[in-house]
Amino acid sequence: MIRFENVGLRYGLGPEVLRDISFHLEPGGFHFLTGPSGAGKTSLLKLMFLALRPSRGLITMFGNDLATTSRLQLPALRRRIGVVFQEFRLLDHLTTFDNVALPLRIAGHDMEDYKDDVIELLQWVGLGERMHATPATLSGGEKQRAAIARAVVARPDVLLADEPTGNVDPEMGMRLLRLFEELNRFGTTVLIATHDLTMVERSGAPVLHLAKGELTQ
Amino acid sequence: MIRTLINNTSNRGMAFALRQRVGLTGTDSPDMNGLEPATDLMPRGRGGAALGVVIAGMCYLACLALGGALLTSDASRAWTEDLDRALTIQVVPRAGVDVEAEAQAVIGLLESAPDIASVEALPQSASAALIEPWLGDSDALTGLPIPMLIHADMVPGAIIDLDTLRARLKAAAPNATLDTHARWRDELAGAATIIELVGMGILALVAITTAAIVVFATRSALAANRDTVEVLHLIGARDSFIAGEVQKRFLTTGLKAGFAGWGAAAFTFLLFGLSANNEAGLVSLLPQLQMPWTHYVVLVAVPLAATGLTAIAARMTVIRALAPTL
Repeated sequence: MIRFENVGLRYGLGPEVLRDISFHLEPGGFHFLTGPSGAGKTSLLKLMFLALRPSRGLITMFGNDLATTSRLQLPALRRRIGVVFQEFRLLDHLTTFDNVALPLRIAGHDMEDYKDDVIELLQWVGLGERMHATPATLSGGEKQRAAIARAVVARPDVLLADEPTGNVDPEMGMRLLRLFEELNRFGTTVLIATHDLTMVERSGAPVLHLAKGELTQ
Repeated sequence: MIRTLINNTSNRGMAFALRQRVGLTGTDSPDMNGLEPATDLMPRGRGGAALGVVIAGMCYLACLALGGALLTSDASRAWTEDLDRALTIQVVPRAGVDVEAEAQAVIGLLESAPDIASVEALPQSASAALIEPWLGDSDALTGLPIPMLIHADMVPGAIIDLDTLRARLKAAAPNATLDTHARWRDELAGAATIIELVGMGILALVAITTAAIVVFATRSALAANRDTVEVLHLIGARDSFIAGEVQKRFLTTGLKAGFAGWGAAAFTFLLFGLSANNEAGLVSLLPQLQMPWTHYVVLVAVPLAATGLTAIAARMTVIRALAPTL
């Protein structure tokens, strides 16, 4: 589903922040991406959700070699990837409902088509009562769940989450982990970048460990 | 999506059980009142009002320029039509010449011509009044040999062979000369053309300035909403979708501001028209300031064009700004 072969990344003329990254995420897999702060986890995720092009190496997404994929084809690939950003990145001027419905709206669906699905999803993540609220009035945990709902609402093939438990207490972190595991059970490939080793140990899922820009496991 | 998941597994009861399993047991009775999709995915910034004022001002100026050009064109057409139809025959008094007799001969000749609609001999007092501004009191002109002027109007649309007419006049009245006002007409038409071109130039300048302002405003809006644009981009929005969202916002601003400028210009032309009516003595040379209603309709093209220009400039700016991104 996602294959990295000897991928390297540098910003501008700076040093390589990622070196010789090679791994393969199988469909339906569940992985953690760990490593200390500054190891390159967010950079690796940015490559995976197509925010950056690698400086070298080969990335294959859903069978498409990114080096030969045109810019016009990228939105279609991005729609197959759900992303939970580290800082949620909800749009402050939209309600929770509109934020969660955003991927469906972008894909060209009418509200009548997606309204019920979005409401059920919001209920499922416990935000049914908060669908009219804007992000400014949501708690950290609620924002986190809204961000997760937005990431999964369009049924992506892959869910990438960057420090999804970084802003919530341990109990909420474990709840969110169970949510990811449930999504994975329904077929979504999940990769969670975290430095919360307790969560990783409890899950028992395979781990990709980054250190100084290189995969060590 | 979840409905599908839930349907695949069981039902709403199962969904609740699922939420309980993951520990997310929020309300099961969402408030669906007033649930409408957000009109704007791009937040409305404070710069919108300022841009609206600028576009309204530009449309006002553009309407004045276009309206002025239309009025000048109307006036020019009316003047040249009048002058095209008018002939003036001047019988120059010379020693031993019976001016009255020659004038009568000219009048008789013109009245018998089928293409001449009317002939009128100006009395000497009227001729004296014409040169009074240059030579002073008409009493002082009493002794001067003032030419006899005969004014004739051609039938509208008639084409007269002026050389033949001139020859016939020469035969009937050797001291008569024919003036067709061609020189005045050409000068007036030339001046009117220059005014129209200046109007069109102002229109073009206003359009370019408006486009440049919209480009700056769009870039500013993109910079201010960079995070929103990036999120839309990363969750799969195509450039055309993002451009459409920005364009929609500028389209609304352009339409409202454009028609505000049109309204202000229409009001200005109405005031001009009223002024031309009420103070006919002061503006008698500019009767065309009373703009016909059809011109107000033509001026609607300005806000419509401004709206289109605004939307296109905004769209192209967004597309060009997003092009270098992945």
